[in-house]
Amino acid sequence: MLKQSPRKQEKGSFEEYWPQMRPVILKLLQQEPVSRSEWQDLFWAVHTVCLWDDKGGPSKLHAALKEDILEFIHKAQANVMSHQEDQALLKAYIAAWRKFFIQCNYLPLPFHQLEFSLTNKNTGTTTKKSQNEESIVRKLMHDSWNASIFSNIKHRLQNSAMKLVHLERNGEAFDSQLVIGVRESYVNLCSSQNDKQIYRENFEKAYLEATESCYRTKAPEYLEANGVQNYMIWADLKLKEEEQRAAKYLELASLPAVSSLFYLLDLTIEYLQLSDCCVKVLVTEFKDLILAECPGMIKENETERLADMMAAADIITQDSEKYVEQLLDLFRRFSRLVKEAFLDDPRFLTARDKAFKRVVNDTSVFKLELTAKPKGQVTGQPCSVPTKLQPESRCPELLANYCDMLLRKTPLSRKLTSDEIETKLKEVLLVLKYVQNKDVFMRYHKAHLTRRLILDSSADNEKEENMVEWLRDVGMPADYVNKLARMFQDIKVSEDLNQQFKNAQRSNEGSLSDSINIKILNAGAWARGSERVQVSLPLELEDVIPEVEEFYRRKHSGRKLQWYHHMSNGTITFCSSVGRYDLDVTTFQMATLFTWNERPHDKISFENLKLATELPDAELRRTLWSLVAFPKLKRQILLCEPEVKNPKDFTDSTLFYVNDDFYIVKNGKPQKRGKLNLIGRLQLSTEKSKEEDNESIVQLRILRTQEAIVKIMKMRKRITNAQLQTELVEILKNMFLPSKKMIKEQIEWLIEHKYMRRDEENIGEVLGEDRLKEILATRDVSLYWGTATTGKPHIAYFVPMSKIADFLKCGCEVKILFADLHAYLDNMKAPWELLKLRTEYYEQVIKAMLESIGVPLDKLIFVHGSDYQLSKEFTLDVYRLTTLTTEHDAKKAGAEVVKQIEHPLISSLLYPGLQALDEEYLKVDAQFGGVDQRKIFTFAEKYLPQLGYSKRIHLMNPMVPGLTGSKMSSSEEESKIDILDTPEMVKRKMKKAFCEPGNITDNGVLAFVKYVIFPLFGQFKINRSDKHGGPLLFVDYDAVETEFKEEKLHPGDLKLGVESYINELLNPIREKFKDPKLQSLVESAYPQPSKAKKTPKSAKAKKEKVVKTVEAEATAK
Amino acid sequence: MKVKIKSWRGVAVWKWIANDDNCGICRNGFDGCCPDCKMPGDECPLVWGQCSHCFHIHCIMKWLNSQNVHQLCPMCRQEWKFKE
Repeated sequence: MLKQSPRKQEKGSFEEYWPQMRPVILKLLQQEPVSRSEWQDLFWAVHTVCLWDDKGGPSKLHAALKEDILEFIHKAQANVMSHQEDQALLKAYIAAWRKFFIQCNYLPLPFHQLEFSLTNKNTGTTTKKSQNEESIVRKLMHDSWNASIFSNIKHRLQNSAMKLVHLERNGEAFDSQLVIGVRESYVNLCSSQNDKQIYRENFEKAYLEATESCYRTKAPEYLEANGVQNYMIWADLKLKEEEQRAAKYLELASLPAVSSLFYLLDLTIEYLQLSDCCVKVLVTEFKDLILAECPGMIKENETERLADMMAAADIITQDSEKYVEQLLDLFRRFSRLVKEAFLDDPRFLTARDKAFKRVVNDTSVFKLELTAKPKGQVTGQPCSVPTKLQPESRCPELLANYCDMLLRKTPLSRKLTSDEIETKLKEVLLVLKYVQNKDVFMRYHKAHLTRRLILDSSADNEKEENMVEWLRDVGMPADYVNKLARMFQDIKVSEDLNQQFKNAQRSNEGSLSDSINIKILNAGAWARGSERVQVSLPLELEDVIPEVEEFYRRKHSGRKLQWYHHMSNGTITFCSSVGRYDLDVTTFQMATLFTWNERPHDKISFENLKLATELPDAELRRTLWSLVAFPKLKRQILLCEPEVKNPKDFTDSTLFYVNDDFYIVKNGKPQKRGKLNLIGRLQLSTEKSKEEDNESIVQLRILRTQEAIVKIMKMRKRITNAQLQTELVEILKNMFLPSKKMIKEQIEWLIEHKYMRRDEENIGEVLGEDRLKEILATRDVSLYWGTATTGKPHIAYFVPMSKIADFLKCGCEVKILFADLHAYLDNMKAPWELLKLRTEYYEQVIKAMLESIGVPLDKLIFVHGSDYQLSKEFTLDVYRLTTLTTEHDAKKAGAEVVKQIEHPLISSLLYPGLQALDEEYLKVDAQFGGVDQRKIFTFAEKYLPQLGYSKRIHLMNPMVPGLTGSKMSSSEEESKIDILDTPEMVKRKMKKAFCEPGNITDNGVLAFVKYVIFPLFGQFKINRSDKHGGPLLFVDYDAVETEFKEEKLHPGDLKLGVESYINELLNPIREKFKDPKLQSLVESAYPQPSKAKKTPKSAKAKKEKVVKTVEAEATAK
Repeated sequence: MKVKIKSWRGVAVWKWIANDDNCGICRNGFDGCCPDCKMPGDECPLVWGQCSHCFHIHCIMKWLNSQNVHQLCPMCRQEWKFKE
């Protein structure tokens, strides 16, 4: 072209060349054939335009190109959009996209020069070809495609793709190319290689969401329909399927996303199942961490977890050996995982520890097993821990049994090498760390050890002793470990002693002494119940025993031996008509069998056997049963008539006789000689002491708890309940986890027995919080507040009033009880003739007070005690209660409320009982009162259930100290502010109120601010005169206290503020009482005020005290 | 005779021959040891007085050493003499 038209070349303008170029470009876009020369001319033309057209040729070319591309795309779009149905749309789109995508690779080629000149121009620097930038033209094409087609229909595309995937999940076949196509179009549309943003935000996200929601619905369905085990297999399968699917449909580069998909999926699946099981903990614990860390690890993690879950489910039907093996395996695997994959990251270690704690202590693991495999035999006995209160995991017992299997001569211990056993033991100890009730493990371990030592059945003595040291190392209590060590010592000492005994007896040939081995134990280390069992021993033994005793006495003067025949055992030769056998038997079995020595063929009755052996009934039954029905033995040593199914069915006349045809079967053939062990599991305690033994675990726990509490208290002197519990758990954790209930009981016990004291100042609180929460979850609470109608109410009554306002706000039903009978019973604080008037007065005042703080009265229910407390039912209940209540309890309950006198009246003892019954008769869920009521409240909690009524909740408000300081006398008129005091009187009393600068502890004025003003007004304003710095405003009490403590707030100003609030509260009441009717009521209810003042005031009663500690305290003291 | 004993492994616990369960001084059981010892047995024996009261030897020795003038049994206040 250059040669043909040199002149035009000079021009080289865009306008000149474009008409030639355009058809070719269009052809290219349409994917119509383009000849080689056309293709090459295009290159040339572009080149020329770019190089020679200096009037903006390249940009014109760019614009024109863009226009053409857009036009093409619009056409394609119309074409694609014409398909209404999703799948067809998808197909059309993908076809169009494929075409376009190919063009994207070709079309940019001729325009290389264009790009070159454009970039050159724009940047003004030398081209950086090396950078291999994305071609401008391709970007142009992609962008336009994205803008016009893709963004319009991407949701439809995505949805239809997801629908297809969903179909595939449901097992329907379809053209997977369609989904792949969508994914490709997403990926390729990303203009730069590394940035997969569009793909990620759309396709991948949608895929993950779809997967999750799919399994969220499917998983529970499957679980429900097919049970746990099948479910887990299914889950595994699905995971693999999803893995393949993801590899197919998701971009490979986004592997992290895939992993997180699995993770998500896995989570969804698992979350719904074994919710009680360990695995969940693990999953949830790991969730954040894993996502934050390397997602690549997740796959490994999840496959393992799945396998573990399978294993865990299998355990259900297995015995202790399998259980522990699985447990250890699980532990090993997780430890390895954490170590290898997460470099022992402490967060993962914590997660593992938490999970394991759950596993080993979870009782539901066993329950789960049982439900999952209803057909399987229930191999596990019911939890052998005696606490009926709450089941505990059998894990510690199983662990101990497993240790026994490793340490005893068993097939298992023979199979393993010494090193293997050691490793396993150490692993058991590792797992033991997570067990809460280590005391159970210790108990079982000790029992097993005792058996091994007594029967000489240890596989390896050295290992036994190592084990003791290891137990010490893992933090078992020292006294326990020391006892174990002493047991070994005893055995060693006994061995020496036996040797000496044998030497001494050498002269005495023919006697049994040679074949005798005595184990002399230290009662403290071994003993479990020192109960002696009587038995008449075979003559040979009867001869030897005194010799042993005498020998021992000579060796250790001052000591004597006490035989534990229930533990001793021996070997006997037994002859039947078939052959002669060596039997290992217990001494009891031996004694029983010896009965036949004199009359080998006789049938002896149970009664006679009892006489002959002198064994206690229970022991004899057990012994005979072991000879008549030894498990796994085809032919028994003894036979009985009639046959029975159970040792309890033996009667005195049941006859027993020796089985003359006894023989041992080996390999299916009867043997003439042989050895047989009839001891089985050596009984360590007698039948009788077995129960005691079980109880002793609980008993010991109680003692340990008390001991630990005292220990802590001695160290700390003063401690909060919460902190005490924490420290307690810390101290006891190596033995057991004390239950909240037990801690509480023991604290109460210690308080009752004066080992410690409750800090009375600090107990504003709730009794029965858990019950309260239960009720609140279902409905509103109904509660009552009672007041004995004794002395005149004073301003501290505003404390409970403000609380009552709060209760009403929360939707509680509140009853107010005017306890007139109580007022009378409490040392006649209200004389009988004045009772009605007093009650009337109280009602008026209380109502006025409530109105003054804005409580709507119609929402309250007012009740008079005498309205129902004199009814037949109530009276009968009072009598019933008196038959249950001890004088001590009644006195204690009323100690802080009822007036204490030297010889208490019966009325004062009835008082707490009546208050307890009020709760039932007022039909409330809760009672509200001051903390001084606490003892009555606990009294009610104890006794109501005994009458068959339910326990109520108790809410307590703190007590307000009196206005004139901590010590106050009721005789001081200034100590209290009466509800009806005039402003002048208030002013005078406030002036005299004790309010030492900086003293915040004994400050009645501050207390009033805290408990009345802030709850009611939410703020505290002081109209301080400008002279002293102007008005003050506090929005919370802490600020007031701090200011006052630092003496920034002057007592005078504080009093001024309080005074104005008091008047504000009292004014409406004063107004109301201007009514002459009420005036006369006041006078008649409290006659001769000047003289009588002392009487009502000094008679501060229980309820009043809630409010007005001021006077009450003083009189009680 | 049909049944014959081949060997026998007897089990017994030892006890101090004492008329009380606890040491009157340290209140620990006699099958335990005095507070200063670790193992009951020969290292922490009991002793009897002529008044028939008995104690851990370590306990009574401590007591006797603290009495300057008369050495009395802490239980019955008779003069303490070891029983032969």
